Amino acid sequence: MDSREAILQGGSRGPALVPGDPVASLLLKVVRHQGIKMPPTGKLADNEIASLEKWISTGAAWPLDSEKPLAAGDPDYYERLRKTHWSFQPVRNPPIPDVKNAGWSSHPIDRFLLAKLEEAGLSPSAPADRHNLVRRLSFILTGLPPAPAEVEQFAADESPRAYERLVDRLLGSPQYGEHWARHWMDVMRFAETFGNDWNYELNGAWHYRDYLIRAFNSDVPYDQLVREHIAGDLLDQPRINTSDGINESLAGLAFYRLGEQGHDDCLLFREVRTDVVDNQIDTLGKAFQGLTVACARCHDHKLDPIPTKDYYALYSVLSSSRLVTRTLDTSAVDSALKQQLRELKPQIKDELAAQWLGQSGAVRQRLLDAFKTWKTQPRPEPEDLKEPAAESEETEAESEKTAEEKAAEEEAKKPEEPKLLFEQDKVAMDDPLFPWLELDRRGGDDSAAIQQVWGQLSARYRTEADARARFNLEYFQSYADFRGGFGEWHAEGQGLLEGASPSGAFSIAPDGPAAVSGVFPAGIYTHALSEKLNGALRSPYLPQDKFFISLQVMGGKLGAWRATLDNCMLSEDYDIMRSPSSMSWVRIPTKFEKHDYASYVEVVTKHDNPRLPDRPMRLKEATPELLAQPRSYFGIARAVVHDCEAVPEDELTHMGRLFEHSAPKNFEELAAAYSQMARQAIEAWAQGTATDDDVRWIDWLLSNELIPNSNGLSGELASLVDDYRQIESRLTEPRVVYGMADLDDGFDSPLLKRGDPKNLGDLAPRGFLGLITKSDGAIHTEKSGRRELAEFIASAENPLTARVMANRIWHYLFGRGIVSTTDNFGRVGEKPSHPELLDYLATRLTEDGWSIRRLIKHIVMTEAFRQSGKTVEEATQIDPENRLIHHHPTRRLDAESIRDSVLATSGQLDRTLYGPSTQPYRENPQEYRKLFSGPLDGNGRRSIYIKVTRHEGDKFLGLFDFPEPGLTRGRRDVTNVPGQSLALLNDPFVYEQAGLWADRVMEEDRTEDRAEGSGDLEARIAEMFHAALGRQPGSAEPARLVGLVREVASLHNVSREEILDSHLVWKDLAHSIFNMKEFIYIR
Amino acid sequence: MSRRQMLTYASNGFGLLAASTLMADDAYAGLAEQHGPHFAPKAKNIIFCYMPGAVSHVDTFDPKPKLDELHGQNQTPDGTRKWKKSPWKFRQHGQSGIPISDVFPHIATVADELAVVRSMKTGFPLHPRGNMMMHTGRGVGGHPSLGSWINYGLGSESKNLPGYVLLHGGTIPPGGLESFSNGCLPASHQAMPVKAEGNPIDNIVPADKDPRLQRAKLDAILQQDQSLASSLGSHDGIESAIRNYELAYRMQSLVPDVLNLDRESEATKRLYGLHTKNKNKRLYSQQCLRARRLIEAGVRFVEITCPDIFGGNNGTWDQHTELKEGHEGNSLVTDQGVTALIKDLRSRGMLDETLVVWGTEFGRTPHTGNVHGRDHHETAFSMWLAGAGIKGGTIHGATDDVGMHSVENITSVHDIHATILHLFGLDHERLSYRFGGRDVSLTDVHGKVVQEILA
Repeated sequence: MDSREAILQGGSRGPALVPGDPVASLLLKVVRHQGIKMPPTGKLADNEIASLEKWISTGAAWPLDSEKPLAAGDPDYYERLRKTHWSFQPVRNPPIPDVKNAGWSSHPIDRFLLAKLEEAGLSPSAPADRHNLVRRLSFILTGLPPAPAEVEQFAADESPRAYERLVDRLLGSPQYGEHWARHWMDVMRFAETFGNDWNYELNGAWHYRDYLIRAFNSDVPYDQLVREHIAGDLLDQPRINTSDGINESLAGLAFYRLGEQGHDDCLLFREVRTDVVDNQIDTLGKAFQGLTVACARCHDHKLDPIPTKDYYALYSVLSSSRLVTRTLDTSAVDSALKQQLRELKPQIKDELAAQWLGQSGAVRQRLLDAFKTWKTQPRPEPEDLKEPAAESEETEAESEKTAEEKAAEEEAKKPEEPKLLFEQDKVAMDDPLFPWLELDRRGGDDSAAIQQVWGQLSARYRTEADARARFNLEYFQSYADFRGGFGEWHAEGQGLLEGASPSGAFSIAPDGPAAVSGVFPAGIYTHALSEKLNGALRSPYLPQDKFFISLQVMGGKLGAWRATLDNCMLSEDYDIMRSPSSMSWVRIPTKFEKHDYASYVEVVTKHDNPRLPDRPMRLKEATPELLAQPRSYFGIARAVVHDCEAVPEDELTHMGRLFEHSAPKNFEELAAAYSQMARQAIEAWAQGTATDDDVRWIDWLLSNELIPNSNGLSGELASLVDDYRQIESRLTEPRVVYGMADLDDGFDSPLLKRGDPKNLGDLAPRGFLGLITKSDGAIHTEKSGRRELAEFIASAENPLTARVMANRIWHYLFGRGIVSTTDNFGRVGEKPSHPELLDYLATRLTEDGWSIRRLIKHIVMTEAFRQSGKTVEEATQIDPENRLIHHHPTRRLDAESIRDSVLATSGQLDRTLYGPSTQPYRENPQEYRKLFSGPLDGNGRRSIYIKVTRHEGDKFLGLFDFPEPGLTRGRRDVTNVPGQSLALLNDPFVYEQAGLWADRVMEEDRTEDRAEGSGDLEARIAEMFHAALGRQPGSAEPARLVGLVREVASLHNVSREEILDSHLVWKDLAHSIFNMKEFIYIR
Repeated sequence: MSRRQMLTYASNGFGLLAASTLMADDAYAGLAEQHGPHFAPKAKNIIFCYMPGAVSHVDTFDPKPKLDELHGQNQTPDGTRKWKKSPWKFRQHGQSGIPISDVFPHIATVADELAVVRSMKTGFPLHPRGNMMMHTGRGVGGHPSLGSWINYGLGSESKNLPGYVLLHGGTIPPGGLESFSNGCLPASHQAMPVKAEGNPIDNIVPADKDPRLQRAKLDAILQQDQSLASSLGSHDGIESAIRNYELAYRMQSLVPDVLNLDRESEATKRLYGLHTKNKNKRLYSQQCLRARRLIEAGVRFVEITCPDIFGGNNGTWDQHTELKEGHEGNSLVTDQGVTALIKDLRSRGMLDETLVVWGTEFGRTPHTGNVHGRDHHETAFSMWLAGAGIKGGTIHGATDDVGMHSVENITSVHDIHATILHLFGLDHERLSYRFGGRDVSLTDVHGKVVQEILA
């Protein structure tokens, strides 16, 4: 019966009606219960049947625009929905309605509410009492109970401005930002682990939480927040927090990354990738637009005008951006400290170079001495020179060893003391010692032979150097040369601010007796100033025609390379760098031959590696100690691409210079030549003209202790290094958060037919919902289109953005939105109870600079908000759900407020803001799934600082409906189950806090003036009651509570005189108060 | 105080503790706004063995020889999907000769107890919605669950236990706890989840070691709460919370007792397969045995969901790939426990008043896009019922010759709900609750009792 066509065509019994002929019309027979009976439960009224008869006899007219059957994807149908569904229409600033009882309130919001109440024949409730009001307001604005003194102060303040002052004070407290940030975190499905198989950590997610707290506390306009979430990296003017040195705008991007994510191979499991984007689209749609955009992943949206092509237009936008870590630190962070380091470094270099130059003459003698010692020593037998055992996967037997056994083995495996210079087992041609050993082996004491071998060696080195150069040229294509800077690569992080270093780069050893941790060839080094600075260097999307990319890198303390395919950020393709102080090549397969997904490699410090901490046994080197310490670094010189299996050969040019010397006749002369090489290299280094060849000599001298690397070389050096280390130790740890970056041009992704990642359709041009853009939705740009997307959403013209946010605010203030389905303003969502009021609020939000705080204030200043929570039977009959707000809805506190007010009441609440999260308390930690256990009381921190872990969250909070961090949850469940009663009765946290509260009260009574009466039973009971519930006990309560205390005391065998000093008794009273419903409800 | 006054008093949530001492028998039962029964019930209790993820009908209870012929042929013109025959043999079992595939060797032994409905149909090929549909009669969250409706309709038999218990293996099927929610019904009708492993219910051990201490505190708390409630007029949340305290209090002693299997005989344990080394199976079997004990203790509605063996986010039976391994693995875990439950209930004479329902959210496609699996399918699937009031050895309805669509005696989820309510003496058209200005019911305007499967 959906369309006229369908009716006229009819079913198996023929047409349902014949226009103009009621008698022949089946429909009429049916409703008259002639044969078939419809409705089956009873006949329609006679006048209704008469109407039908008249309609048929006059031709059964049907509204024109509905002639076609309704179907998802039908452009006409969609167009009709766009024009008719309430939330898609522009926000109109409605006139404030007239009301009968104008004396109740002049507040526009109250007028809107009252008009509806009056329509229903209802009236608002009386004002709430002041004790109750301050408690209600305090919880709703800050999530915490008011301090007893604050309650009494407000209750006694008769000034007409008292309430407004209270509102301002609460909205100005830092706890306001914490409470409202947490609301937004529900919408953003905030979590700190990725879930899926291994529950990898979302490192640094807490920076995003802190960003929100700061944003709410400084009342960042909502449209700005929207822009920062969607395209915080692309804003013309990022919002810089100068006091913390943070680029706030970047932090908003973390929202994209908070969804669940698997580590699996994206090629094998395409859904791993498409699900991540889907979750981003779902969150973006629901959070900012109140639309279930993700429903259009497999088919055109059945209910809302969102075709599948719009879904994939968004997919193309979001997958054009890379999922990478973002460094929040601005270049201003520690700039003074870093400047001091920059100034100290050349001083250290000068002093060190001077010391080395002073000793360079000694190189000759040291070489000769070492040579002589070696020659006169007995040679070790060849069998003593064992190859180290090949690295192998840890066997089962291995894993069963005890920690002690393993430690002992590790000890045994430690490298032996470095061998004396000439004792080294094998020496490559690259090693300056190679010619010496050859001369000794083949020339011996014969000076002519030495000269002859020298000539042969010289030729051999030339040939070899040429061969290597040719090989490299033939098989490898230069992809990047970092000796001149970053090139096309993208650098992020404080450690990369120094840019490229010339040959002779060095870093100061952060501790220990050595002065420098090395002297390096030209390249880029994150530890040029400090190993505490982070860095991520990212390649462009790699060419598709080569099998490998090789990087010439060094790195330590978990510096790593990673290969990322189609944005699979937890890719298994990574390894730490295993060459801590000299460059070596690592080869990375690109798998390009199998696909054409965008891929890139990146070199990262541990801060920027989302795979750390890895799952157990995946990376043995990543010990907890190494993970916990603040240092990590890498250096990089070159990148090449190639098809061959090999990596480039190291150049041999540094040895050519040795052979420019005339042939030595003996080892004395040879030593002199080496000494001259040393001096030349050190001098060049001192003057800043060193080449990579010089560096290789210096590196050789240093590693063989021919020149001493010691900060004890001079008093001056020691003091400079000490200064450097002192300053370096004060550097801020990198603040890195997962985000997005547009490092490349945008590109369009194919539409996935029926949502199947293997079933590719046409390319979907980047764009946003046609529903909002009122066009085909296309975003025409070279880039991803995220910037444009942000503008579409953050616009005051967008019919949904302001409405959805104003409704969220209303929801949190009144416990229920004007649209109760806060995350769905589509057709399956509920209709607004007060559409004009919602538009008024949306208008107010945009016109008042998108200020969230001012809108909250505007709403809580209403009489409606200040009503009593007592229900009136008559009103409840007419409007059982209180949709018209005839009283202030009584509701249970949210999970965090329950836990926080237990802590606040017991006196254990730590009001420190910000910082890394505390693990939830767990009886059964599963560390291999990153489910660690924290202290029972969470160190007294507010619940917003308890780590949100997927797989299993904090149990206490979970019981009281703390949301599962999967999808946007603008409206939490409010369940009511015996488990909650059991928790408050029996959970060790609550029980422990009761005891601590009792201790505190008793201690305060001891130190205060018990003599003046505060020490009596009734007073103490009243004090505790007031602390927890914000009011004095009244009517029957004092007697009841005294009765309880006395009964409990007698069960504990505590005499009347001892009651005041009995911990057990007061713990029981505290515990009882925690269990009163009034404690967990606001009214 | 008259009994009637007491009930009125209690139904407002007040005076529970007092009521429980004065009227030791049925304080909790008296709480519900009793609706029924509307006529003489056949069933007193129900155990719902729920198989989340969607069990394939053509591989279990609905044999399709035609698929053997079509196997490997294109189902779609472009050949992206091909027909797939069942990897298992079907055999006829019992006197009734009901065909059951070799996936379920244990269930096959109780074939004559079953009424297999082969013509199921639901609206949603998505797990969360399918699960919610099967539990609440709606594809979206927030509506009362079948278990809540039955308890609302009849009241609980037990004053010490919630009337609706969810025995799960550690994970809740997709759709979450909303499938087991009381929706608009009083919150005391929502399911209480009980884990298979570890402490089955958190905080069940009293913090107050001296029970008199806890009692004294609870009495004072109750008085406080009552005056709060009366100062507010009426508030369902607070009243439910008050009731929950009483329930919680009793659960502390009773629940550990009911869930403890120590006093079960060796033979019983063996029947359920509790000696197995397969941990998932042991946990599932343990939940089955617990279900019987909960029923004995007066819990009306017990649901058992599966341990999550293959499921990830979608339920353990969701075999888009590896159908054979997946269904066999899941059967290995659940087959013996479910069967033992029927046999155990039968031998104790409890099956006559206990309904056992085995079901899933929808079926699986008779064709496949990847050779090894089957996908979601909402227009045909099977489930079965046994026990109280059920005509054992029955096959009801049929799908077409390839199992694509139910074609004969098509049975909707609402029909099954109507039938289950009917067995409890509840008329699905009359069992309603006034909420937000209209009468809400489980089956809405749908559903008819499937008379053909009733004894």
